[in-house]
Formats: sequence, structure tokens, C-alpha cells
Amino acid sequence: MGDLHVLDILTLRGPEFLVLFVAVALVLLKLVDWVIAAAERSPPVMKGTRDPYLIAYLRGGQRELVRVVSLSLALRGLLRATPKGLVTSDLTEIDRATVPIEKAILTTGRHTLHLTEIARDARVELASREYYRTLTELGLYTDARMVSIRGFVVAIAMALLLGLAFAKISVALSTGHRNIWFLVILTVIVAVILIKRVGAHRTRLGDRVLGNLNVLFGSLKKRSGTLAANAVPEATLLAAVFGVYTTAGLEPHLWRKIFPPSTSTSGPGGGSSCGSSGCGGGGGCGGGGCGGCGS
Amino acid sequence: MPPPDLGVPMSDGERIVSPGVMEDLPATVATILEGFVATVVSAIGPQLDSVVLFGSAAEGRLRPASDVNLMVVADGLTLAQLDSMRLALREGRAAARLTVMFVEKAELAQAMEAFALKFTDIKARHRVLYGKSLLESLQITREAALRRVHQVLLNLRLRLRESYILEGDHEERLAQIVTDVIGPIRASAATLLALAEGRTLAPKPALEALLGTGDWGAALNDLSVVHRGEHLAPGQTRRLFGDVLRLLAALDSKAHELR
Repeated sequence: MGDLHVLDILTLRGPEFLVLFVAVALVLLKLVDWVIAAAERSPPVMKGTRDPYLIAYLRGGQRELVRVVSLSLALRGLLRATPKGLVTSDLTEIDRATVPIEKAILTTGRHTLHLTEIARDARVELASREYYRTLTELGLYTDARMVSIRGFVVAIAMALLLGLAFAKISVALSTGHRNIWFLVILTVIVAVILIKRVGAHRTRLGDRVLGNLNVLFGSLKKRSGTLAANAVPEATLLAAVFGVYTTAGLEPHLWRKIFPPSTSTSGPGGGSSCGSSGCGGGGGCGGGGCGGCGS
Repeated sequence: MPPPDLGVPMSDGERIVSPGVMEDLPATVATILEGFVATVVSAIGPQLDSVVLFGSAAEGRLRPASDVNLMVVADGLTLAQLDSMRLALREGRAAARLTVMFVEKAELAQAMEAFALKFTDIKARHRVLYGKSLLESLQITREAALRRVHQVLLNLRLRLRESYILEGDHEERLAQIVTDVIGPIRASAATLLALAEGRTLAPKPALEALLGTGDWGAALNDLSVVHRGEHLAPGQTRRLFGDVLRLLAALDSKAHELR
């Protein structure tokens, strides 16, 4: 009887099967999300973070962390932007720096380097790892266990989906039908959406915290155009929460040197640089494109 | 790397400030205040005396461009304690224009004398977010209040004249300059009214009560318009600027009469 039902489904006409396939895909996506959310249990009191560097990492990984720290150092006059890249203005400041990521970037800046080169430096990577560790401990970033759970859940969903698609294609081909491309394309799209569930760096909790930070600092974004050039703490938070592009008006000449179009328009390295803030949103993209958002 | 500061509760947890005290404030401001007070309590510990919200936020009349003013009174403040409040204050400044006056208990009476105008306003408009406020038990002397009013009114006139020379040909800047001085003008009026008649009114009605709406009606109305961020008709801001200078002189005369 059960076999008869499956056969009924597989012998449905093309459009009817596609509708059914989409419905199954939506249910599977919902189920995957539900299982992942259940696995990523939130602590009883969800807390945000005040550290702009931690926020930057939460939003866009190491790449955004390095961009925001470099911006902060440049606005404070500790890093100098030159056409060849960034360089530490005064080497004695390296010893005075107390924040490890700042010290690492200032040390790297002994030689003039571009942001991408700074981000690849071993000392900078080591200091960045602390932010990753903190975020995973807080349940805001996925750790290896979470990635494997996500992978397992997505693999099951994929197996079901691909099995259904493969069975239908087999039946269609065996009965002489060749119009299978809609189903193939649809399957690929759903598979990509599912795979993205595994690759996302932030947890659901991380997404919620970032969303809350977007609301909390909404008024800061609105007045970003009127921030004084010496309002470094505010500019750093602004860049951390919404992306460096929101600070483009603060010190336009300096900003363009730090984030020349070639780096500010390249795609996000970590795969999630835009986070929930994205580009636009009324903030404008300044002179160098959206920075970090892969516009 | 030091542990991250996680002071901003994003969901219901243990509340330091009773929610009823802040229910009429915008949600963002309430969140920031809750997080900041929690940090202050944790940083200062038993030496903390009180955390007081004052100004327009305490009246429940916060505007988007308003500062949120707090006063923290403690039995002594060490640099280590101040260090541990840095991220919270930066967050508050960025998200809600939070400005905080950190006063040691022993300095309070002195501060009230030195900044009599400000403290008259604080005494009239405040909410205690944490602890027990000492404000009620301390008095500002009449002489100190009058001296401070004179000082503020004179300082405003001097500053306004210079600003006018620098930016008088840009009406939008003039409007901004006038907006910036409305607070001190109204606070001066509230102090003068309290000294003259013993009445404690909020700063805006105090200015209206002190000057009357007859001759000054148009100027007071235009001040409110500018304060709301709205625009006056072309040429009217310059006229209002002149009115503000006259108004400052009129208030100063009233202060002299009270001496």
C-alpha cells in the first residue's frame, strides 16, 4: 500500500510534482531550522556585548575585526594610511598598547602592509582567535560540535530531498519524459540553501544579539553624519555594528586611504561579513562602496 | 585578553532598576540605563550611594536629540572602578547620548554650590534609579544660586555674540546655536522663579511664568519651534537670535532684583 502511494507521487504530472517538491523542500528547511535552533540552546539570560571588537568579529569574522581595529587605530593616529598601505605611526606605541589585537596590528604595521596582508599575519590571527573563542563560549558563534550537528541534520535533509528528486527523474526518464530541468534546477537551489545552513558562522543566538545591537545603535547610525572626527569610541562602535562604510564621512580622506576601492568592494572573506546589517539601510555607502558587504 | 563585558541584558533577567521607573522611556534608553546601572552597581559595590536620572528624561519628555543625564554618587571612586565602567559608558554615549556626572559623596555639597543652577534643575526633575538620593537633604544657598545664574547668563551672552559673528550669516547654524542655549536659559528661569516665588516648575513653564507671554510670547514660541528641530521662516532665526540676547539681559535684571 505504501509502495503504491510512493508510486502515485512519482507518477504525478510535472507541474503537480514540482508543487509537491517545493512543499516538501519548505517543510524540510523548516525542520532543519527547528532542529538546529533546538540544538543551539540559549542561555537563560541572553546577553549582548559591549566590546566593539567582539561585535565586529560577530558580524563579519576576522576580516571585519581587522578592518574595525585598523580604523580605530588610524582615527587615533596610531596607524598611518599611505598609498602603499598602513604603517604604525610611532613604534613606541606598540609597547603601550594593552589590547592584544591592537598590539598585534601595530606590530605588523612596522612594515607598510595592506589590510588583507595584515589579516594574514600570524600574530594578528592569533589575537583574533581569542575573539572566536569568546564568541563560541558565549554560544554566539558555531563551534566544531555545532558544525557537525548542523552537517548531520542537513545531510539527512539532503538525502531525503535528493532521493525524492532522483526517484522522480528516474521514473520520468524511464517513461520517455525529458522535461526534468525545472526539477534539477529546483533541487540545486534547495541544496545550496541547505548547505548554507552548515556554513553559517553565527548561531541563531548570535543573529539575535546582532539584531538587538542593530536596534540599540540605530540612533547612532542616524547621526553618523554629524559625528565629530574625534568621536573615536562612537565611530568604532558604529563600524563594529554596521560596517566600516558607515564611518566614511568621519575622515573621508583617511577613510579612502584605509579602505581603497579595491579592498572595500571585494567580497566578504568570512562568508558572513554583512551579517544582518547589510548595506544600505539609509546609511549610505560613502565613497568607497559598501566595504565588507561585497556590493 | 580580559573577559568580554556582557552588561546588556537582551532578555528578561534580574532587574536592577524597577521597570516601573523607566516605563515611559524609549525602549533603547531603558535598555541602556538598565545595563549601565547594573555595571555601576557591580563596579562600585557597597560604596555606591545612588544613581539618579535627571533632565528631560526624568520628566519623560525625551526628544530624539536629547542627552540622557545621569548622576552617580559614591563614597569614593578609584581609577579601577572607573576603568570597569568604560565600555558601558561608551555604549551609552553611542546608543543614547548618555552623559554621566560621577560625584563623590563628600563633593556633593560643594558641587551643588558650584553648579547651583544645574543642581536646582536636578532637584526639581529627577528619578532615583538606584539607592537613596541625598538630594532632598541638601540645600543650595540663595547666594550661590544667584551667583551661578549671573555667571551662566553672562557667559551665554558672551558666547552668543562670538558665535553670531562667526556664523550669523548661516541661518541653520544660528538655529543650532539657539537650540544649544535653550536648556541653560530655561534652567536659569526655573532657578529664578524658585528664588522669587518659591515655586518649582519645569524649566519650560518656568521661563513662561517668569517672563509672561505678553511681550515675550512670540520669542518663547519660536524658541519652542527651534527646540523641536523645526524651521522658522527665512530671516526669523536672526530676529530670534536678537530676542535671545535681550531675553538673557532681562533674566539677568530679574536676578539683580532678587539680590
